[in-house]
Amino acid sequence: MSQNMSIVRLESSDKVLFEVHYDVIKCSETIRKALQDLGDEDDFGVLPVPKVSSQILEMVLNWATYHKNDIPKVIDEDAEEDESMEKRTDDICAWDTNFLNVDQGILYEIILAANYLNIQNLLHTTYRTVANMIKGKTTEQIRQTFSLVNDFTPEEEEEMRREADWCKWD
Amino acid sequence: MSQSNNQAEEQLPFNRKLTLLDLPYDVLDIIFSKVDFPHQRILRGVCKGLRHHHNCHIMHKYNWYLARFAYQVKQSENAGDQRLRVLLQIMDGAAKNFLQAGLESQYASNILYFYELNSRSNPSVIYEFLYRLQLRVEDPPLPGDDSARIGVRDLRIIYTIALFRLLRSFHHFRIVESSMNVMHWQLVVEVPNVFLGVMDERNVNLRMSNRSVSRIPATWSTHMASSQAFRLKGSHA
Repeated sequence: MSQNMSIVRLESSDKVLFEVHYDVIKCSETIRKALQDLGDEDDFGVLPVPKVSSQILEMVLNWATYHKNDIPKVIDEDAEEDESMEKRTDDICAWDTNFLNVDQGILYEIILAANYLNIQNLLHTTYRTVANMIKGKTTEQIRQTFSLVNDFTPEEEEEMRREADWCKWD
Repeated sequence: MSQSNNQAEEQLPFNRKLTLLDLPYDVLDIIFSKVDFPHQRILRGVCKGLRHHHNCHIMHKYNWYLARFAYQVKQSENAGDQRLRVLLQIMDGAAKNFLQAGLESQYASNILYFYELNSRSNPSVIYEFLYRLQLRVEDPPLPGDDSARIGVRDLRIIYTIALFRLLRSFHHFRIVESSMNVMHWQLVVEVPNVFLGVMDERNVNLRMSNRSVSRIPATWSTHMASSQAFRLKGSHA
């Protein structure tokens, strides 16, 4: 039986079973490699996904279902590192924007799941989403957005002010 | 991308909501890279955790930059151009001194501006960068009043830049040893096929070969000996 026709069974960290078509989950490099290791069998058994809860796995599978016909993007690491390239983060489709419009804790869990499952397109979309949450904000606004506490001592703040002044290139 | 990360694998208390700082470093690293330089600067002032991660991000980028640069240098060496190799050595030496002095955070702050200038293809970026790096190394107060301290600091910077230029003109020097103690930056370089003349203010001790002589101005060599503690090792072929 061809893998393209296969149903893959995944078990979340809280022991919930999900059945999904191979075509949907093939975007996950982790799952793809696991299936390759198991060989071309009719029954792959159950693949445990111990680092992802059922709530998050369901969301990830929804994302994968919506994007199952997408052509995989080739991530050019050199271009990503090239400082002369514009750091574009506004190229997120409306569906993804809506999908990722969730509580921050959930967003980070999706990122961790995408990282564990190695789903590059989802990862890069979430990276851009977090970057957009940083852009256009002041230090204090970033603290508020991410619920981070200013833990610098007055001396360290003074040092940073001096550093910032010193770093200004005229 | 899917590398395991101890931070991510740590068990969080039940029901504790994840925060940005719970994300593994390799994830934060890519998020930082998608933020423009002005906002990266702002991020560094948010909290200690973000500053630490950003330091790691900058150093990671710096090492990547060096590796790519080294490859280009190797390619250019084949074409007979030694200038890139010298530039790389100077950059590397400056960075090591900074890191050995425990100034990683300051280094990260400054190299951020280096990247920014580099992205605009500013031709004087290396010179500006090294000048400011040295300025920062000399920033901790020295004994004495402010004007004297600033005077000594400025002289050191001028001598350092002068030394870099001098070395660059030799093309084939090799940094043998580079270290920094409280007051002095000690640099040992090997300069093949070059003969140095040494002078001081009171008596002249000129050693020369029958092939060529390089003379260092008396005032410059005196100041170098007294305040910079540079050691030059000549290697005679």
